[in-house]
Amino acid sequence: MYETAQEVVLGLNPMWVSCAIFITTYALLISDIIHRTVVVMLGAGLMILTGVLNQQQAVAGVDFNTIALLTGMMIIVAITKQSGVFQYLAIWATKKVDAKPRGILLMLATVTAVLSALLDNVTTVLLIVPVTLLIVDKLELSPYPFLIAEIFASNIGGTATLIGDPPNILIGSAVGFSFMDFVRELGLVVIVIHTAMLVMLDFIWGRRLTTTEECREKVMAFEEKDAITDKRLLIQSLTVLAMVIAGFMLAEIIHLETGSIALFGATLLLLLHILGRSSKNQSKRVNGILDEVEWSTLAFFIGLFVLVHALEVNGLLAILGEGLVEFSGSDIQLTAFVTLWFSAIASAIIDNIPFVATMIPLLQSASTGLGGEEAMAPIWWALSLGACLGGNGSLIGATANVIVAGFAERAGYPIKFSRFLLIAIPIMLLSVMIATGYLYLRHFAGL
Amino acid sequence: MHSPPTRLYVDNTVREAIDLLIEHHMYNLPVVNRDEVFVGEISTRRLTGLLLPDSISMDMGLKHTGFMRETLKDLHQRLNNVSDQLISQYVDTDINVVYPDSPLMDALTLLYHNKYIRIPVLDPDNQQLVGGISFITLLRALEMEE
Repeated sequence: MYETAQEVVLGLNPMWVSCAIFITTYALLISDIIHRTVVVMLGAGLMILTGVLNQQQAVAGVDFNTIALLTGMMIIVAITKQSGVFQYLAIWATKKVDAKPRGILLMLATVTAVLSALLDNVTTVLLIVPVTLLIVDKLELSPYPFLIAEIFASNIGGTATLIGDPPNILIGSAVGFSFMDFVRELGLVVIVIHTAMLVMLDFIWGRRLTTTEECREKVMAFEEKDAITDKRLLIQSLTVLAMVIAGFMLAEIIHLETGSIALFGATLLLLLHILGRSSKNQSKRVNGILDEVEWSTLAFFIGLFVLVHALEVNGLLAILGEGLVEFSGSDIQLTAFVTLWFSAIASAIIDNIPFVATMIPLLQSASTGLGGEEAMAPIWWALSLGACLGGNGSLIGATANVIVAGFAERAGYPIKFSRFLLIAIPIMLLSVMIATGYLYLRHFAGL
Repeated sequence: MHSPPTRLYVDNTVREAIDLLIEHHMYNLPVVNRDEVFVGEISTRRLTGLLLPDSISMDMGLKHTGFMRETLKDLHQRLNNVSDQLISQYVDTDINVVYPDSPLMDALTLLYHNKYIRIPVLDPDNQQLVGGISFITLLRALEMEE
């Protein structure tokens, strides 16, 4: 443990300085006038320059398991996507329903949800949306319902696993929940929420989605086998991906952290990707893949960890945690439901990554007052469900939403913020209500 | 410098642009307004995008589409849909240019690094297009020097 500074620059109280830097950083993040990575790195830098933290403390605050997990998965996806497997899946799913638009809406949303559970949401929509636009173009339909369904499905599907959405990575790493803990705890409720969402969207758009026989034949003529560009790469990448996911499932038994498993899997896949190539070609391939790693996202996470750690070491989060315990009267059920709804609403308005990164140490500091680590479990699941599902509450609720909106605009069908809200708010409310009922039945009803 | 340059006007149609590119065996052509002020370039790459669905030609679009079974009729129909549109919306305005008194090495470096076939030469006073410089015009200049 490092010593906490008694006073910082200009003799000021470190807790208030850290609080001021943190609030300013949050305000800048919400205003969206400066790139989010630069904002958090600036905030983290100021925590060190003002003396709130020293460099060793700042580094100690970074959760390198999360950074390794994110990096590893980014590398694996960057290589795997070159095989064309994701386009294959989308076309296969479309042809399974005979290219009938109503079925496509449900199938592509389900493919998106499944992929989002195994990959990050942004990558999933980057892979699925272009092929969706192509299919819908052939069917001479508006892509609007399909893209909206994919936004919702990506956020819902991502809720199901440790690696599906960054808030889950943060929670899993900080609290020690395993991949299987997430699947066991959230898998069922995510399936229920996804099904409810599909029923609702089918009710709204289903009957209006019609096309001609000729258009359907054009889509049925797609040869999904030809979407696979490299069979060797396909086998290698799917094998490694399967091994990594198996590793996540067995993480507790093999005594390895998820970050180590992902990064080792990524390295193994990189090795297979360059094996037998000339040294010049190896350099080109390795650099090409590493160029696809979202370094700005990783820097964003590092800055965020330092910012939140500054609040933690200076006692502000402990004070807020005590306030939470006092407010809830140590009532776990009330705290879980408040956490769920507050997280959902907050995540619809602000980026859920900084929100969850702040909530984790706050809730940890309140854990003793709330009955200890074991009793806290429903609250952590509430935080995960709220933060992930809240991403559906507005067009800026999650990065994947913004990415899909960008695609829609380029395709000539812009998604208006207010029009999206009309469907997003009911979907978010429905999903959080289901989550509330699920948490009650699983943890509080005494069944 | 190749002068006077073959050029398109911003109010030409896509069909007229294609005809001129074919007639002069060119891969890109400078585009000017009716005052002869340089606006940008139209390229065969940009026009190729018009033959493709938006989901392929858009930024971050599909990279591999071997699974599609497009016919010449499909491409023809897509081309017909845009052939009467003005080229102004397809002009690339982010183009490097040189001026008559620019160092020769500037033009050569631009030709090499930007994979340009021809670089527009503008009048520095009014930004009007006065010519173009390419590898071929440079070679001809070298031959004349000998």
